[in-house]
Amino acid sequence: MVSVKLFGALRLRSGLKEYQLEAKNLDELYARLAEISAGTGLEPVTVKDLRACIVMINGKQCRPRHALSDGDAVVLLTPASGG
Amino acid sequence: MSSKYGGYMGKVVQVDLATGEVSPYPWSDRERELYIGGKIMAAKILSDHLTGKEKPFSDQNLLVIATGPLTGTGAPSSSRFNISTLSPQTGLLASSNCGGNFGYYLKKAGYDALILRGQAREHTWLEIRNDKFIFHNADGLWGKKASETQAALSQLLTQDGAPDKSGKLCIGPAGENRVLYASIISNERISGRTGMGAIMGWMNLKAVTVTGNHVVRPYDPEGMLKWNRKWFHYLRTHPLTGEQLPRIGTAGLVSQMQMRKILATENFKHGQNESFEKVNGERLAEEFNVVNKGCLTCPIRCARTVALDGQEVKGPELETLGLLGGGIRNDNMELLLRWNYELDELGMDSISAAGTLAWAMEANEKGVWNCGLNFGDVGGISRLWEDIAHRRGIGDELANGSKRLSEKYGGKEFAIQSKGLELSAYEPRHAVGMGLGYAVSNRGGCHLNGGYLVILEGLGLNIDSQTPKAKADLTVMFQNLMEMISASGQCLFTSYAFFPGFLMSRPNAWYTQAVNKVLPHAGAAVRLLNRFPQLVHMHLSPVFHHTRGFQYATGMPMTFGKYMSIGNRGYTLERSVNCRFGVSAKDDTLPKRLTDELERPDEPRSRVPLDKMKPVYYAARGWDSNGIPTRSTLRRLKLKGGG
Repeated sequence: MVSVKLFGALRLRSGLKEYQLEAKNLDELYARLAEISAGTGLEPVTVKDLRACIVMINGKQCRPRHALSDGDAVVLLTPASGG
Repeated sequence: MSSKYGGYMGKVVQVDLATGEVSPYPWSDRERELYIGGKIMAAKILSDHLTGKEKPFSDQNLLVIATGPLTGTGAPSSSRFNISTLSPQTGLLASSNCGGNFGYYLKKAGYDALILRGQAREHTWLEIRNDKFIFHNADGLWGKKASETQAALSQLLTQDGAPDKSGKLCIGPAGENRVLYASIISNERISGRTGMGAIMGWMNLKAVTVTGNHVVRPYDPEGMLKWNRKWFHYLRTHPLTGEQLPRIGTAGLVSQMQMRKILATENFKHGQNESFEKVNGERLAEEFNVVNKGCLTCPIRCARTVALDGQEVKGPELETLGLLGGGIRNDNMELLLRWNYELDELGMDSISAAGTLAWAMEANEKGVWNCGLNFGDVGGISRLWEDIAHRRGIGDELANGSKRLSEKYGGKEFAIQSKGLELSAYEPRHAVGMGLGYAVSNRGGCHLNGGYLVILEGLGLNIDSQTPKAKADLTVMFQNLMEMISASGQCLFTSYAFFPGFLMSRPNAWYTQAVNKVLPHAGAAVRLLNRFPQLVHMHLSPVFHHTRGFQYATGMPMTFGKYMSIGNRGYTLERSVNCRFGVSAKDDTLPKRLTDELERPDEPRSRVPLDKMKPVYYAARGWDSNGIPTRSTLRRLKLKGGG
């Protein structure tokens, strides 16, 4: 089981927020999130959308094809700017 | 006076509030070519008046309110205006930029800029209607807060039943009482930084309203219209200006900054706040956001309206969320929204107010100043804002900002300011280029005037955030770019679209990773472009629409290289004026907390290596080793005599 949180514009667009999910790698996690997004009532997201996110696992940025271990905390971010 | 160039109204007016004298200020097309408008124009006007001996609260100071040539032309995000003065907070030439519609209405009245000087004999509201300047007694407005003042002005302006078509500026009680970080308010938009409101307060000037029936005419209206369509489309489809900023605003950065360890927490002791989810942009949007708002002709619409006590009020930006959230160990969003509203209403810069409060809390914790304020103890803060604005009790001391307080009581090493201006919410020890920007910025500790390198160091792109390599050269480049965008009257947020959308929307792609790897090694190439911008004798239209847009608006020939060169001129001009007031390398500093203390004891690079970056920055700018622009640099930038 891994925990996953989404932040940024993609979260507001899709309604995906925070979940505990079974997944062995990021692709499996994205597939699960894409399924869930179909039921949020907001804009569904695809695995491709999720693959474009910045991925942090346990506080460290990782490559998009990273394997997952039980208890990992995954954060998905979209690039941002401000001022 | 008139101009051969489009976009300009061709007139600058000066008003002496002490005598009531109104007179034209000479401003030629040659000066338009060299100094464009807005921030750079204001720097030139102030440069022509300031010798280095003047005091902010004096008849010799000027408050210059200047528009850019694109203001009112319909170009995207072009309703900005700039206010520059000798700042009471920094004692130096400083500027503050504001959205809203005042700039547009100033041009409707027929003026590119308004120069104010002198102290009115009574509380005054200056009403400008085309060429009529009416000085009203403002005793009835004095003491009122910002929205109450503007509502009263609106009522006074519409007594004949006509709709209110005016731009307004006003100060709140903080400006009246010369709080050193008092702001100027225009509708809901704030000219917040460097204490402009205190200058208006000293002038006894409560408000300025402006209206008129002139028309802003671009040089090539048809070309401009066609180009604007493309430009709007580009901004609307870019991942930052078309998705992130409209959807979640600057508030969306809180979570990103937390992950990048650059979210200022507990007076910058740390770069992460474990309670960030209680005070981040996602929570703001999901639980409090009512509607998004934008300035005139802006497709980005980054502003937020939130629900507070049954009222719809302006929501906080990232800086306020960060500094009045984790910055003082507050995780109560409702309180934060209230404070943001109260600070705007009282007319105080929320960044400096929060930075000063955080310093006081730490000073109390360390026994440096026993003021009774504690991190996380957030009851009574609303009362404290009132006390600061009215200079009552300890509020009178807090009204002077963290620099002066630390000089009086000690604790300079944790007074998080540069040149007297408190830093915004980006903790720079994991974004060292941003640290350099804070230190060398003409405005003082400002992220935007500092070049906003944090956009490369983990927000938009993800270059090595702790290497000093190339940071000085990139800082110069972005400062010059933003200087010119600001001078033209446009919002700096349009500059974020300079980064091609595919880099922003594909952070994991090989090409984005390659850019992240290569940029820190590109210092020499960036230096070459900074030094010889004429090498880019072209438009970079696929990603940078500003130069062609500028050309259609004004008729002034423009290339990317020339655009950057004018930005360089503006930045160096401000620096050279500040050098007259004694600024040199000794002032381009950060508090020891950021340069000497490691943010992570186990990460030796988690500090700002300012000593390594500053000499490179000076060399890149063509300044001497003491940070003074050299004669040859001034000559190259056509600033001979301006230094």
